[in-house]
Amino acid sequence: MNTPLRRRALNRRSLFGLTSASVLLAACGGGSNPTSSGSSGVPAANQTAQPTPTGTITFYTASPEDLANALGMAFTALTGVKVSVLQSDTGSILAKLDGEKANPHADVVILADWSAALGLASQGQLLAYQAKNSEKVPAVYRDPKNQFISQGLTGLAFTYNTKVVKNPPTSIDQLTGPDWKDQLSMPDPSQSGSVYSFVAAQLQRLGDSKGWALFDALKKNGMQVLGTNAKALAPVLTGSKGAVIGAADHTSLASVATGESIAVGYLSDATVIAPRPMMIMKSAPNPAAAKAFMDFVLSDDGQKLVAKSFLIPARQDIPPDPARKSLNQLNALPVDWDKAIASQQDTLSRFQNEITR
Amino acid sequence: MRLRARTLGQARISSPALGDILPLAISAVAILALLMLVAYPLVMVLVQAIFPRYPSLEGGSIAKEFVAGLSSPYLREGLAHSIQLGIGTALVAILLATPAAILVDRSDVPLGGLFDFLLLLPFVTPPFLLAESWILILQRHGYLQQLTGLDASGAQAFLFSYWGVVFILAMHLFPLVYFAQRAGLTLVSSGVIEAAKTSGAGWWRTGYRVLLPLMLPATLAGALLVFAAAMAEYGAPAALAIQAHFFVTSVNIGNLTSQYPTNRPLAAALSVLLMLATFLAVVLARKAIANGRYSGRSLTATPVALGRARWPAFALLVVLVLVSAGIPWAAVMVTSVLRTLSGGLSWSNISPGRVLTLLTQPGAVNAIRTSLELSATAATAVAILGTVVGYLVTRPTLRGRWLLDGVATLPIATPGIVIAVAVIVVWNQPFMPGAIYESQWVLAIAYTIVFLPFGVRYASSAFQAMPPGLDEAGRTSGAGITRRMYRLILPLVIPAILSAWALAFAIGMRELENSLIVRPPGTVTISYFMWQSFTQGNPLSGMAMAVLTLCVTSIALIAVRSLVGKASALAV
Repeated sequence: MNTPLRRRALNRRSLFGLTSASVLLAACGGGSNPTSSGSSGVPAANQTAQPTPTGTITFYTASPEDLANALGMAFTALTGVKVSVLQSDTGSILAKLDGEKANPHADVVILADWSAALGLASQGQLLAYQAKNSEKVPAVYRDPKNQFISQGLTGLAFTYNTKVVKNPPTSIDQLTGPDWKDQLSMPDPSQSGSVYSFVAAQLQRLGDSKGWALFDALKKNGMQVLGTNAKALAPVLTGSKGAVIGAADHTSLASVATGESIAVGYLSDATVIAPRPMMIMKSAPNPAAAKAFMDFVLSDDGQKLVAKSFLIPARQDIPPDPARKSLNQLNALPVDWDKAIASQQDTLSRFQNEITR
Repeated sequence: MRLRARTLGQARISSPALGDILPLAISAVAILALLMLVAYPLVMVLVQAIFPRYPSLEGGSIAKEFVAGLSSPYLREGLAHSIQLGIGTALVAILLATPAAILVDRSDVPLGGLFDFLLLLPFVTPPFLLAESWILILQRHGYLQQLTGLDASGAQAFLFSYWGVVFILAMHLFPLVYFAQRAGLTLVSSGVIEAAKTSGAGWWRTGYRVLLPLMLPATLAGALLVFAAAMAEYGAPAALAIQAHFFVTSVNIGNLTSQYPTNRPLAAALSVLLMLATFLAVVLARKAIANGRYSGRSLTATPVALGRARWPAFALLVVLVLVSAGIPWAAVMVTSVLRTLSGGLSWSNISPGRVLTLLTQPGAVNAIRTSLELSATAATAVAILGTVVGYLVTRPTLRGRWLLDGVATLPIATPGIVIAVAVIVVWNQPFMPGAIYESQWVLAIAYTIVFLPFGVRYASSAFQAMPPGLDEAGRTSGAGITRRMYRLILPLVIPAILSAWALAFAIGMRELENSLIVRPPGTVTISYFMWQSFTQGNPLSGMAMAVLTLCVTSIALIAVRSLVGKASALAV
């Protein structure tokens, strides 16, 4: 039986243990958590002796629904393996995985939250597998132990209503000025791990004291922290707010495609990449087919489907949709995930107490 | 597990009056079903609060998570807010429902019966949709401001406050009080009222001293449901919480269950505390109800002539319908035909075809069919089980009936997300028939748990309101329990049972949390479809689905209402 998702203190300790281990490339990844030692072994680089995939796989995904279904159908057409798709949000998928511990169903899981993948890995819940083409994914967007890898990337950007905002800013500092009084919203980092990476990147860029001063100034200027990504975008669509910061750009671009009067901007000091991790559960009922599916998602065809949903394909040799900028064009801030995870609980509770509320 | 054993022990049927085998067997089956369907998952919630590593039992601690829940100032504030929200919503709901119920039941207000249908609408509306709709109307640059040119800052400030949350939830939930009162009032004899008048009591005095006390059991039963449902509600408080700076326990539980790192034991402990609050309320309400006594049912319930007050009374009901359902639904409908949300209210931004294009999408049609199947199945189970349990908990001779009542009421106080996880834990055991968990019918089971309180409350308040001598008279005339049940009791409570069916069906068409989490792969319900549209940046399609759902649900409810009408006629 795997260790259930649990205990903040324990989590923090084991996450820290895992991530510092991965930095040092030391072989002591599971030192703080006995159950994670099983998964921190050798990457399964053995790709030649795969059995032919058969049967059905169960695929839980926080990707856009169209993408999830398209990947499932294309994989079935290719291999004959049926894909049972459950599209939901990261939180609901985590709750479902947690509830199903006694009798797991999921084979492949895609989340929108890198820190959740780190957590599942630290609890030894993930199966290491080095998928084909994984070397074409930048190293920062895959786990060194091959327990998870990006399916695609989204940019956390600045989305504004073009009717309300005539002169979009170029730097986040401008948003603390009087022009932006009560005009800004932001998704809640407590409700989305990807938004947490935005907060962490700012704190890492400016240092703690200046970083918190920035968020404080934004709050004093009337910035509202509003739940999920979609929730923070909604008042921008209606014009109740001028812009949202830290919002996933692929959702905004999908709205632009339907004719909404919004545009996506990339501030020089406030753009962050949020990778969307894909993983195979150690409890997967059909690991052979799960590995084949992961290979497919990272294949040319799979990555082209990812591009269609306005996400940046994880593989940098596959071009993104022409309507969006590529990874290099975004000029995004770096995120040190090890540092970010280590301070996640403290940062989130401080953010909740001082900025959100 | 201890709770389960006690239930079995105390629920022994000790009344010699229940002599026939059949009713005994039915009661036993119903109690077993209640234990299996409701008590077992709820006990699992408690088990998870005590054993953080369940299914492993190591590291268990009875007090730890409860202490954690009560010692965090943040979570304690959430609990206090939840109770404030429950009480505030219940009081406002009583204020809204009572005049409406009296007017429709006892007066010649125009089109009285129509309001029974119209006042169901707010309850059919998903609360998160109600919140979204009022946000669209009242926010800065919202529809109100676009239409009137007035600055909406004040309206927005009201919506994003404690009273805003109470307003949304009371508008959504007051029909529970209204329908409980309507069911109760049909059994209040107009003879009593006439007697009061003949004795010289004025209108005010008659209402205050005679009618309201007679309505008390039904009012309390309804208000209890509102209190519990308001505390457990997640969608609307979550939509308003941050701007309102008003965080409640259900939102905290939602965050603990679905944000990484999750902390399910603490979420379970908080749920148990919410359940305790409801349990206390049930006990208090039972005490209050026990003091009320109904008189016999009158065959000639003559409506009171309102005279010149007839049209003002009508206007009052119309305003209630408009504010609770008309205005928010108008906003939803308008939004569903906008080409883009950012285009605002203008003729050039209208694109009327969206609702119809939805009908050509197999995904949307499937969602409607699935929700219809699940809601009807769950509502039927709730009606049958609720009637038997509702009967049992009103038998004064049945020991431990308060426990049955409590167990059957608890799901309403349990946040949907917690029930969802409990259902997975219970029904996904290796020894359970896996076919159920992997099919859409596992949702029917989850829905049955969530809606059962409605069935039990409605049936029990109808049984409670039955003239006490009636059953006795039947017995002395030599009728056995089966015959009395069939000829005397059921005809009197059938309207209440059908109302409960309709309510359960209507909530099924909008249930969100279980649909999100328990949902097996490939099963799409209406609420999931809408939620998915909202979260993936396609809110207009979600609004169109809401409009379509309103049509489908209304047709189904009108069909049931005509049945209720026939059944009531039979009963008289």
